Amino acid sequence: MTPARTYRRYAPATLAQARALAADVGLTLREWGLPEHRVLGWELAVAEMATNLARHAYGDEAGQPPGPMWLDVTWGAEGLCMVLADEGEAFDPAAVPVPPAPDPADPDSWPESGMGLPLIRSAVDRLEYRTEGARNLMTLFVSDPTA
Amino acid sequence: MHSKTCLRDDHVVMTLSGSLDASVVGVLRHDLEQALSRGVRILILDLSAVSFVDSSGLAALVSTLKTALGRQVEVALCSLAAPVVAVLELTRLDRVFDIYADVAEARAAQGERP
Repeated sequence: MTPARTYRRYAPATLAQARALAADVGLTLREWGLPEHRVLGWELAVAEMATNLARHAYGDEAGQPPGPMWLDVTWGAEGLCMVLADEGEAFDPAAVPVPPAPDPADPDSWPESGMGLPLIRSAVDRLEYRTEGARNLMTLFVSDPTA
Repeated sequence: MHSKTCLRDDHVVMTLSGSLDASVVGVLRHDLEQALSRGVRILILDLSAVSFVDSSGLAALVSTLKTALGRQVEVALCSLAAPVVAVLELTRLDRVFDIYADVAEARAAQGERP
C-alpha cells in the first residue's frame, strides 16, 4: 500500500513564481521516488497551469498585482492528485479547442500558442475544473504514478 | 536562462541553458532575434544545457523558425536534453524542426544544403 504523502504551497501568481512552484513540485515528486520520465510531465503540467493563472486569471503581464494561488499535491492509494486553486477569473479548459498537429510543410500550422493545455492533458489521466465559492480549482489525477 | 552566441563564417551557434519558460520568454525572444539579425545563413541552437521548456519557450522557438524562414536563414536544433526531446515529441514539433545530435552534425548537414 502506498503511504500517503502531501505537499502544500501558497505563492503569488506571477510568472516567476509559476516556474519556481513547478520546480519545487518536481523536486518533491523526485524525493518521493516517482519516475523521472513522468515527473518531467507533471512539473511541466504545474508550470502550464500556474502560468495560465498568472497570465489570465490575474493578468500578471498587464501590471496588475498578483493574486494568490495554492497547490495541494497528494499521493495515496487512489493515485496522485494535484489541485491548483486561485481566486481570479474562471477559465473553462473544455472550451479550449485542441490544436491540430503541425504540418512540417505548412508554416501557418506551426503553433505559437495553445500548446499548454494539451501538454497538461498528456501528463495526466484526468483533468477537472470547477468553481467553489470564490475559488477556481483545477485538479489533475494520475491513477498509477509509479508506472 | 542564459544564452551565449558564437559567430562563425556563415553561421551562428547560440548555446541556451537553464529554463526556457514563460518568466524568461521576453529575454529569450530578444536573444533569438539578436542572433537572427547577425546576417548569417544558419542559426544553430545548442540546447544541451536546457533543463526545462514550457509552451512559452517552445512558442519562442517556433516564432524564431518562422521569422528565419522569411529571411532565408536555416535553423537547426542540436544536442537536445531529455526535457526538450519530451516536449518536442508531445507537441509533434520534432517533425517541424531540423534536429541534430550535436553542433558538428548540424553544421555539416546545413552546410551541405544549396
